[in-house]
Amino acid sequence: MSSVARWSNYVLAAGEDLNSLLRLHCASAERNICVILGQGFDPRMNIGLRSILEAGGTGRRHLILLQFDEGASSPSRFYENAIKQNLADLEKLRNGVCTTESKTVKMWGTDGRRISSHSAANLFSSAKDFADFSDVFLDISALPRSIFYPLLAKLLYLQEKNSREGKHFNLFALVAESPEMDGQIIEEGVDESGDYVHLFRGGTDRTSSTGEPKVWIPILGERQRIQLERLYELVTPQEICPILPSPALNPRRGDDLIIEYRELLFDRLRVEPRNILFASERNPFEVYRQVRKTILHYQKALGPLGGCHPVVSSVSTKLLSTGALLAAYELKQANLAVGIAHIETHGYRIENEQALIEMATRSTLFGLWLSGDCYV
Amino acid sequence: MREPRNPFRLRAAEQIESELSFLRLFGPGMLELLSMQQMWERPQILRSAAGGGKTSLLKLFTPSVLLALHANRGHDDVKELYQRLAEFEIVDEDGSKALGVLIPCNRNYANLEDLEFDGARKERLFFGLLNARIVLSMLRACISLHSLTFPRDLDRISLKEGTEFLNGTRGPQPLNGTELYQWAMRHEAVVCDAIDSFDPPDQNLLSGQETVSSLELLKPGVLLLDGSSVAARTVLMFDDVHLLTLQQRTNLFRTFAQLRSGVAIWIAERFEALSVGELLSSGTTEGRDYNVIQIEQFWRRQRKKFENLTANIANRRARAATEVEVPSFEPYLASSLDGAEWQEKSKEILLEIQKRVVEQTTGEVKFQDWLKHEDLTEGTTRDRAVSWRILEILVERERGRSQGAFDFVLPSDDLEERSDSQIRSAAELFIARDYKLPYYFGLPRLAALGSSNIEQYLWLAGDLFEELISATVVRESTLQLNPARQDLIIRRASDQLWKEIPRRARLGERVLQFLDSVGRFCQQMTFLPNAPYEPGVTGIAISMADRANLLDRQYLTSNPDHGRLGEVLAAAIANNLLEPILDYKCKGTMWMVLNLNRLLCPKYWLPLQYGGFKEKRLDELASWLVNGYRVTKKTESLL
Repeated sequence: MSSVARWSNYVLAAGEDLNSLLRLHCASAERNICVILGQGFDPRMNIGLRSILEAGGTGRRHLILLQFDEGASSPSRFYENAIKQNLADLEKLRNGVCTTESKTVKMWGTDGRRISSHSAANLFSSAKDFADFSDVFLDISALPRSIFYPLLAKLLYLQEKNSREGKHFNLFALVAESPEMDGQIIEEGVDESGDYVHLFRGGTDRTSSTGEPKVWIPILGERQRIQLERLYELVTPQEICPILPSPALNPRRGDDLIIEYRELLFDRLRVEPRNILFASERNPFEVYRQVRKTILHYQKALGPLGGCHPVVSSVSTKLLSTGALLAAYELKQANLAVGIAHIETHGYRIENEQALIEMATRSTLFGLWLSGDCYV
Repeated sequence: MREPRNPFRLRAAEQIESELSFLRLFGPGMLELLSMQQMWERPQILRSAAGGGKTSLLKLFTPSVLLALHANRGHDDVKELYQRLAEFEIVDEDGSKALGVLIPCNRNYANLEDLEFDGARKERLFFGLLNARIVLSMLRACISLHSLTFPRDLDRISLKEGTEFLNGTRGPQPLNGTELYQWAMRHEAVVCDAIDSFDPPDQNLLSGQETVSSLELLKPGVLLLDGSSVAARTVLMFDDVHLLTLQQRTNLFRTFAQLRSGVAIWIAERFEALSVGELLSSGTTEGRDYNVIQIEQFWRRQRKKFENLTANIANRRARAATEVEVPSFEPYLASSLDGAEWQEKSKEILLEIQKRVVEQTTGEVKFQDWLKHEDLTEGTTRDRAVSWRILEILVERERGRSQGAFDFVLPSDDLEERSDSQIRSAAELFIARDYKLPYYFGLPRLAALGSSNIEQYLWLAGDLFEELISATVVRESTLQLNPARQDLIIRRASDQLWKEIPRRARLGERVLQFLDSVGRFCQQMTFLPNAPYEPGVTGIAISMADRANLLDRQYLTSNPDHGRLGEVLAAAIANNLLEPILDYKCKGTMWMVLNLNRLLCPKYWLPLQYGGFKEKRLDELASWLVNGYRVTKKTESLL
């Protein structure tokens, strides 16, 4: 594979910088923009769309709204009112400005098995789905990881396919980040077992390579002990390289995470302290670089013994999770299978519903320009 | 990886890399689960909640572990295990007699269901992939069993003449180990690539098989190494079968029941594989085709054995610690409140109870002989305090029973007859709660708090062991953990379990609300002044008829509240938060008893013994899901 990382140069903007970028981009030509976002109770749901519509410009604006079929017993159903409020806001936003279509993501199969990641990957099957658009924005703010991982990977794949046919579109990922809001949304009913994300099972499934060691790179976030334990049970790695968010807005965040997971990391999983990696909490491309570099390093070091099975997991913010996905995607396309181990929850509980809406106004919108004009 | 600081934190199967370390930590008592007669005949299904010890048990039978066992059979920590496996005819002086082939099902089998094929084709793909993986694992196991080099020595493996393994499939039949390996590797790669592909898979590339034809290869005498049979016995072990889809699991079970291949088949799965119906009927699934071993239920029926097993495991783990020298765990856990440091407190308690009982019975002739009973003046201060508390309970009962009766003197012998071990336990518990004394301490109670689950036990024991390590670091004069400290640590662990319920269990909030109601209800029943359910109530029961209703779709359609209750009960059982006992006969009716996991008990000061439960109707339990348990007026009047 190429020694130069695909995203060694990248475009990442946040807050007002992002708004300026969007304004310039939309004004530079007539742009047919497709925005994909998830319908949910999270008040950050519409922030990305609002920024795009407010950026102005000419051309078609089209919204694809993803609805989740979570089943009757999902705890998230307690927040129907918040969903209705978000939909009402969305209605006001898009009214007369953009066309809309809805797509349903089935979360459960008929036999009670989770199929969300598979459903998400199959939402779009052909490059033709985006033939009419110059720009595609995937807003992951209200999308769970199990959905946006395969979906974003599929969009990258289709974008490349389109490019090969000379009809490329610009692909952006948007995410509204707010650590204080994330702290208010508590995951409930963690699945009994983790699984690999569809399209990113890596080589760990293959019995023919059972002897090869597994290297696990978990990106750590707060209050995820159960998830980490269960992911560990799934991966059963020989080497663990946790990634801590540092630098971070709270300079002690990395230390706090070490304190929170001290027993798990050092007593149970016996992590070597020198294996700990660091990446800025506000730069997914730094996570991407760290993950990519670590995997390639292990592949090189263990190459004479047959190589290794790298697996990444993120129990951190969506912004950082995107970095892990980019590394896994790039390496997969270079025939180096990387697994993404993930565990889902049955729903979410909001500590303080009212406070959440107010907190949403303080969140920062990040935009990642992942492929298209700026990389040509 | 680093050396383990606290060996109790390691999970035997997944985290212990060296075979010898695994063997040293393995409690031979786990083999009690297997029956010599049945293990080779019918397929065995090992079922438990997470942490029941299934994976460790299966790992024991893999070639590398058996070889290490044989090589270290003279080692003190391994001797007993070797003897037991020799009795099972797994090993003898010449080495391992059995070829154990372990097939983890936490792979991508379930993803086959997502391919856009018809059901029959998916079934063929499933069996095809399973066969390829059985072949790959089998070949590795053969090579490992005979200490050969993989894949160099695969050529030394051949098949008995006339063996046809790939009947009805295209291409030549593999004839030796290398050909089998290449076939299986290719087959697995094609399927895995198809599953992980961005583009729809090419149907023409994917082939499958009708059944688990690889079992043919595992029959004794079929697989040969240098012309001789690879092993006298073969055991094919499937782990994590709950991760297959419902359809795959059904197909697999059906196939094994029909095949009767002569190969020992063991299947390990968690409760989560079971439907609500199956969970609510746990323990009744034993049939002709399979032998179902419900691990937690097995230990619940044999509590002493579980206590011995856990003590053995604890000692092994303690010995493995690098930072502290602890040859045996038990002496480091104080197990009584008779020490000098409790003497003053015991005296205070004795005087207070004594005073209270005397005041209560003043002027009542019928208790005058009871008040002179020798138990009240003999034994340690604590014993006497307990005897006085028993007397107080019995006085309360007598009052309730004989209101308006004549005030005849009750004979002293009568007190003795009524003072059995149960009421003694209740009195001890009452004193502990009233005076905030430690209650949850000592090795037997630690075993009980494990609730028949090895991982839960190890977690608790690990918390206590952590204190020993800390005491060593700060050079405490004594390493023994006093009862108060043990009690505190266990209560913290209990609180953590409660706190994590919403996150751990499906329908977590409802499960928490329900269990909290059960806990509060049990507490109120337990601490009634006359202790009617000595030593206490730690569970509820529904009639088997009501349980049948919870399985009846038609009934649930017209009673949706009961449907929700069924789901919550199933989620709690699947996570080992409720321990079910079916067909329990009481008062002429059959009941399904649902005991609280013992680690949930400390929050409500509940005893750890089993047996105390109260019968409940579905309506009342369903209301607990909505409003929580509320004290009834009747109960309130008794409190």
